[in-house]
Amino acid sequence: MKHPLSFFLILLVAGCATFNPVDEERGLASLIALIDRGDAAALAELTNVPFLFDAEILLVKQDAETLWTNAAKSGFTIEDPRVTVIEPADASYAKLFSDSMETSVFFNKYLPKRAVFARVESDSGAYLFVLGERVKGIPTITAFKGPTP
Amino acid sequence: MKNIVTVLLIAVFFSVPLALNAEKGKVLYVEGKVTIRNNVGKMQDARIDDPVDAGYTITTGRNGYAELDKSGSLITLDANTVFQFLEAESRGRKTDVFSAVSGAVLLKVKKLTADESSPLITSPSSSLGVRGTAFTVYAGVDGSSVIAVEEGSVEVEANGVSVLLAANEGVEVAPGSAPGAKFEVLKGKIDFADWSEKNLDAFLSDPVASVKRVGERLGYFIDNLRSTKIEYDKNMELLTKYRDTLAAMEDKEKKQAYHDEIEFPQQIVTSGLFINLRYYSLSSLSLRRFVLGRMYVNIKSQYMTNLSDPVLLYFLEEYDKILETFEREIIPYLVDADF
Repeated sequence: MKHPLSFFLILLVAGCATFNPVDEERGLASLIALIDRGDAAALAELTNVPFLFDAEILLVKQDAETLWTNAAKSGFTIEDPRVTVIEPADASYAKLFSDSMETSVFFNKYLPKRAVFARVESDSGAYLFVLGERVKGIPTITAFKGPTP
Repeated sequence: MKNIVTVLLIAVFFSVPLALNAEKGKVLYVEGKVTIRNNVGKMQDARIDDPVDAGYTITTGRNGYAELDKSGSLITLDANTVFQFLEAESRGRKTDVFSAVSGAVLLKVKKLTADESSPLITSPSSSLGVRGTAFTVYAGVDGSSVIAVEEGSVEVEANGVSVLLAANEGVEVAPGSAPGAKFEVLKGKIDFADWSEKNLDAFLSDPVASVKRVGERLGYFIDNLRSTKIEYDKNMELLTKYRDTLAAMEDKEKKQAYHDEIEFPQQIVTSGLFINLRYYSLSSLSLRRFVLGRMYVNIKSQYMTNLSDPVLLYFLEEYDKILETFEREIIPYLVDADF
């Protein structure tokens, strides 16, 4: 505490070290590859519960399985993905998903530590992701919205 | 409107609890993935002897299985099941509410003494009155349920119509509808997986009709919530008046008598109405989360590659109406811990 400025600088550097956009983008690309391959089992495994899908809070893993299984069956892919935003997320990102009180509470209560927000543009529309800790290099998913026009 | 529940919580803060019929429960046995979400929204894997109480939600995974005890009743949850403990007020007593939200729940409700009140059993589409009985509630993706009785009798009420089921009888109820015709149930012959699959197919064949029925069921809760709120406000006003009178009294004996005979009974009535406000708002949240939310996931994910399909668009039109109603009518009664 003798040098408070140094202390805060160390904290700042440490904080920056935890977010590396290149790494995050690489992880996201692996996740999108799973979506494009229709690997519903792997996606369900990577889906955190509670999970936000559009404005719906899913509390049960079975619902995440339904989401990815149906999406895979429908042939859903994110074609030609372009990551336009990737940055640390906080509760203020709730409004990008929905204006509802439920979504706001979800972001306040269930956002993982070091959550990352990503916006991906594609030929089929835009997708929003909130990503959490990685498992074998692939990020877990806490929220997903899309496609939006 | 956002802080109705905060005001209510403060209002009943000094109230005494109602005569308590309910006892705390516990987890008797678990297999596979079983999760408990407590009454402040904290989730954890269930273990034997974990406590369960009003406001708790227990969820079993694909290979999950759980046995719970609450107030002497045995509750068995099959795989992929969501079950909630709530509470309501009935005749001046707190009453357990066992809510079979989705999946398959076998209930063995103990025979009651004269001093005890029966738990209220609910599914997304119906309320059940029971007397020392064993029965199963199956709840499907569209909020429909099948009630099948093994022993004793069960009164099934939905949409203002009641049906009394005896042993080896069953009935199916869709949300917002009266119970269907009774049918014979042969022990062990109901295949929930089969019923659940047919239920899903029926929902997918006409999702708009299904989502409309959920809207009707939500309307039922909202009607009850509104009428209970009117009663609550009247009684709260009376209670406030009685408390003011009590505070102004000086004679200790008269003060005690006034408390015992006038103010305290009014506290009981007001607390009971508050509990029922919570019951209707939490039941609405459960319907929104586990029935409407699941419908949304099912439909949206099937149409991810064709968002302009009329089936999806009609569904979303009804879905949005329900969300708007929910946000306006129910959200003001909920607190962060409920989510």
